[in-house]
Parts: sequence; structure tokens; C-alpha cells
Amino acid sequence: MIVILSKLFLTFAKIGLIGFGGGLAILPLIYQGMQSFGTIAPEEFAELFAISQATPGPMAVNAATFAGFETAGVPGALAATLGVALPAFVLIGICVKFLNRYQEHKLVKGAFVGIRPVAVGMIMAGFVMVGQTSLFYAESVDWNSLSSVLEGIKILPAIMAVATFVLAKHFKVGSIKLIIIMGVCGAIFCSGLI
Amino acid sequence: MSRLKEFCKNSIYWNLFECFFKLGLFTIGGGMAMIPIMQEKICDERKWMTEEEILDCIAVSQSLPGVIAINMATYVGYYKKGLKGALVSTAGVLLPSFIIIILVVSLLRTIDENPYVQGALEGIKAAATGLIAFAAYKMGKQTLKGVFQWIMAILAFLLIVVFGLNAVWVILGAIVAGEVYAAINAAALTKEGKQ
Repeated sequence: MIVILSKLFLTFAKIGLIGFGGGLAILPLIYQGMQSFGTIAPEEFAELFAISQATPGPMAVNAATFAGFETAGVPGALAATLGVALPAFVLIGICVKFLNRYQEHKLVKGAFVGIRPVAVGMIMAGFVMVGQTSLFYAESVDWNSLSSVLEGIKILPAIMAVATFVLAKHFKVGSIKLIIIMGVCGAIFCSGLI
Repeated sequence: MSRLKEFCKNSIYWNLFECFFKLGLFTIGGGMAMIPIMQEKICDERKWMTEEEILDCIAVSQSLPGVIAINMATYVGYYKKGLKGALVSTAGVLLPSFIIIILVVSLLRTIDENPYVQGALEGIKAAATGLIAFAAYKMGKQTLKGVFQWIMAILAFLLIVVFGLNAVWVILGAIVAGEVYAAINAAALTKEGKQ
């Protein structure tokens, strides 16, 4: 048992260390990492993938908990989840400590002059990436053809996304409330679409 | 009971834990979906960080390895209260996943066939998309105050979306550009001062 748990912990610590970008980028690494355990059949990965995406929480953490639980129950889930969190914990800790100490240093300040606007650009990019699958039938859209893109819009979700933006901006409705409202609307109006 | 309530209200550790527990619970999809809620809770409601500090956190979290949501939780926790703060924030963001996945896997086995669940997910993802757009708008309004900032933001957007460049390279480029821009500005200021 101890051997399996430490192997799980190390496997997921490695995934946490080399996985940049989180979520979808990390799932293939989990697939590879789990091969040596032989506890999850290849067809089960589709299930792991779907459940990780559809349940609350960061996708990579969900997938780690799932894989650990399937391999060694609750202790396995704990080992895998702590493993995937550990590298971030150490690296970010070092980074924040360094930044706090040299906050007033010219070079650190200069770096952030460039980083802040780029972070805004990254959020815009995140909007496009998330929107591609949430507002379009991504599998069937050819992104190079305007007519195909227009045909591929999911109309109801697109309306809900615009409504969310307007409610947040003009009526100051909180994000968690909006997520719950749109979840209920989706269950009522979108359940027939799929 | 009221004493416990009082303690919870005043303890920064409890507040960090509670805040990230909620973030973990309402982040469906990926780390990006966490940004608008984090910005609202941490900047607007609790005033733990300024909009600029949150942007630093987002940029650092994207460019270091690891799960973005965990990176952000650890960053905020560390920033506010050192190692202990980081521990409670990270535990908070992990716990909802942990409980929900174990329940789903042991009770349901599958989630994706029920049309109402699917419909709700469509709605939640649509809301997340709208919220991310709002976060970009809000932070853009705060940060993009000059030509340099606009160029940097648009360039980063294009490099990631059109050319599929990894965030790490974008951030490294941003650091170099920021240093050069700051140095030129500083030189211009001293020149003005001399005149």
C-alpha cells in the first residue's frame, strides 16, 4: 500500500512539475502517467475526461483525484491530489517570497510594466479559447471560413454569455449568482439541444 | 456559536480558506473560469489585492508549471499570510474537487448522459465565457492606459490565439519589453530633470 501511495504521489508530483497551462494540457500527461499502474482501462479515460470537465473544481485536480481514487481509494486520491499540488506550492512560494523582497527593485518594477498589459491580453485569449467550445459547435466548425463559423454558433449559449456580460457590467450581479442563474437556464432551455 | 462566528469572521486564515473553497466549487472547466470570480472576491469584496496585483498573480501563475488554479491560490495565500496562508488557500481550492469527485465516482460512475445536467453545463460554460470577457474588459480599462500597454496586450493576444505560442515565452518577452520601456522612460525623465 505504502509503495503504491508513494508511487502515485511521485507520478502526480512529476505531472504537476512539467504540466504547463493546466487543464486540457495536463490530461494527456495523466493518461501517460497512469499507464504504469494499469488500474484504469483506456476506455475509462473518456469517463475520467468527461467527469473531470463536468464537475466543479480545476480539471487537473479532478482528474488527479479520480485517478488516485480508482487506484487506491481515498488514500490514493489524497496522495495524487497532494502530489499534483506540491510543485506549484513550492515554486510559487519561492517566487512570491522573491517578489515581495525585491518589490521596490528597479528591475522587478520594470518587468511588471511589461507583464501587466500582457496578462490582460492573456485573459482576452482565454476568452477566445473558452468561447470556441462554449459558444460554438467546435468539432464541426472550420475556423477559416466565415460562413462555417456563423453557422456553428450555439445560439442560446451565445445569448446567455452576452446576458451574463450585461448583467455583470450594468447591473453588478455577482459572478457566482450568474453562474447559478445560467446553470438553471441551461438546464431548462438547453437540455433539448443535445 | 456566536463566538465561533465571530472568530470565523475575523480570522484571515478562515477567510482565505472560505474564499478559495468557493472558488474551487464554482470553477467549472479550467483555471480561466476562476479569474473573474477571483477578481470579484479578492479585489472588489475583500480588498486583499489591487487589480494590478491580481494581474501579477495571473501572469506568474500562467508562466510557472503546474495547475493554474493551484498556482493562483498558493500565490494569494502566500502573498497575504506566508506559508500558513498558502496552505489554507490551497487546501480550500482542492477540497471541493476532492469531495465531489469521490462522491461522483463512487455513487454515480457517470455524469454525462442526463440531458438536464448537460444543459446546465452549457449554461455554466456560457456564463463563464461572459464573465471572462467582463474580467478582460474591467482589467483592460484599469491597465491599458497608453499605446505601449495596448500594443503589448494585443501582441500577447495574437501570439497566443493565432500563433499558439506558449504563455511562458509571452511572459519572458513581456519582461524584456517592460525593462526596455521602463529604462527609456527613466532616461527621458532624468533628461527632463536636467533641463
